[in-house]
Amino acid sequence: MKLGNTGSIDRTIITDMDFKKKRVKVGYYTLFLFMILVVATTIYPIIWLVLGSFKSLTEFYSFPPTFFPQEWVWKNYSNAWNSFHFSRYILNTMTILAGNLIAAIIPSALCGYSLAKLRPRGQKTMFYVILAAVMIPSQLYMVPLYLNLRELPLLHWNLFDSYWAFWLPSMANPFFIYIFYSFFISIPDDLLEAARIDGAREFPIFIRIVVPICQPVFVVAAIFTMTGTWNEFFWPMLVLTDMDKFPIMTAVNTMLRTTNASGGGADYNSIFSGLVIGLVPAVILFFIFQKQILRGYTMSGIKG
Amino acid sequence: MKNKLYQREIVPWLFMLPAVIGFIFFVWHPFVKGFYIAFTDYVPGRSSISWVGIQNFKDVFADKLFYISWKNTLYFMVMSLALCFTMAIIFAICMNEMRRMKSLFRVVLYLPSVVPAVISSLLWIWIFNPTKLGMLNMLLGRFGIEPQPFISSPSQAMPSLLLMTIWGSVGYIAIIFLAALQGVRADLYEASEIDGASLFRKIWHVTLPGIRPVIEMMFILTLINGIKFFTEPFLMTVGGPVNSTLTVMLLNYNYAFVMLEYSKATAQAIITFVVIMLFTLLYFRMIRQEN
Repeated sequence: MKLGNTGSIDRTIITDMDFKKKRVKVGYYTLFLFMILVVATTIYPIIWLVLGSFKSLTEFYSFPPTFFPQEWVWKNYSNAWNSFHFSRYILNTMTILAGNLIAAIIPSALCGYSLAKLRPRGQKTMFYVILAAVMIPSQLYMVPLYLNLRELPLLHWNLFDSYWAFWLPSMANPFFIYIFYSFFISIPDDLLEAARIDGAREFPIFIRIVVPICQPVFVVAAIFTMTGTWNEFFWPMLVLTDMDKFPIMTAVNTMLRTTNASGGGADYNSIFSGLVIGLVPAVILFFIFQKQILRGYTMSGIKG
Repeated sequence: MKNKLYQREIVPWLFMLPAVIGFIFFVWHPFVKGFYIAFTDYVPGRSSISWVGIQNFKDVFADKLFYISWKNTLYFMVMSLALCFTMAIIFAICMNEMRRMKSLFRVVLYLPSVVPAVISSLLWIWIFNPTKLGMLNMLLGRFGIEPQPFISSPSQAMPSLLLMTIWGSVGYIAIIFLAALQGVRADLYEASEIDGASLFRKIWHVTLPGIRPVIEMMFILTLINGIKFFTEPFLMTVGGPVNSTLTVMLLNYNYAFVMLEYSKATAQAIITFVVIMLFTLLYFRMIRQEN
């Protein structure tokens, strides 16, 4: 599936021939305006958020409201940054992310490769047992998983209040295994067979041959891990009791909520700045890796 | 020879080992344990745990909130299929026809899916602000409409959340349809044109059948995501006002982490699981019948 501009061989419902007719042209431009309207509606709340984050408090609460800020109050951002301890929470998120990248990608890649190319006896059963987990909603085992994190079976480790509670569970990612599997399956067997005849063992083959030619899929997995970690708020909220260990979204949610609940005195313009600070990395990530993200989602059809 | 067998049969399992360890501790074991908890009066740390049969399930079915949660969830599910899904198809077909700014449309429509749930929830709380300062009320005010309560009124809360989730996910679904549209065969359009098909007949008989597998897949995914609807009501309304946004998954959370009734929560999760499985099986049967 490709997402780019359609080439000359491809065509859509309206052909260039049709397009010369006046009636079709009028219809097309109506649709065009309709799409502009749709896009404007979609982006309006985000623009409104960003503009609101620059307004002074009086302007923010003034009626009738302004669209563009009368004066751009950059101080909102330093207020938000300092009062919400963003640097600490971003650092926490990065720590979690570093572990997640290792724990999510390496086991999934190895497992996906084994299922796709090494195919030992029992491979088929394994494939279905692992992939069944994609269909099972994780909420189903939310409570037992929570209990397992509090006391890991056999080992009796308590993972609460530590980042291991995120790192270890990310080792089991059926979605990633599926992405890796479907990518590795297209590697020609001859390539691997040639290396085997030369006496290479499976692990070096994987590291020296497979990984270099399959970089795109590793990039996709890394991006999903990044966005997933940045957006995660739910499990940290359950597992961490020490607020100093919170990742960014859990912290933003908790703090803004308490500010909000503490009465009407909340500086909503600074809250907006806080929201923008939380939003910007996600958007930047999207713009850098647009192509990979869109391809990854359409490739799998499942949002992580 | 022995070495070859080792490379052929043992090494592949070593490759799988790290993931399998993860699955044992964090997927398979919790999954099985869930069934165990649901049939016992499990309390963590207590040593005397007894088998209670289907008592937990009875408790769930006796709970008025259980029915309210399903009513709300089904309302959300049906409405998001009727609105979000259809809109996504329309947007995708329109976008595919665009000769200019196509990639801009695509990026902007996708943008809301990039916004973290926490950020969008807090943003939409302000958009739905019941005073005239809220963004939506401000817009309505331009048309002379009185400020609406939105998420603070039982009758408007769920439709408001629906509006928000449409904003958040319609673009993402449309992008997937757009990708599928690239695979519609051009010769079928030409054949239908020779038959003198009108624009709508072309869409109905060529375009939609051409992306049918993707439509079916997204249909079941939207449906299942509807059943799992949790984050927005959890962050924005906590199920209120008057349980009007209490969804199945939110009730599950309340059972487990508010009321600390783990057994009841897992019993309810299993009921939900069965419903989801029924829909999934239905989907697979649908596919098989076509082939």
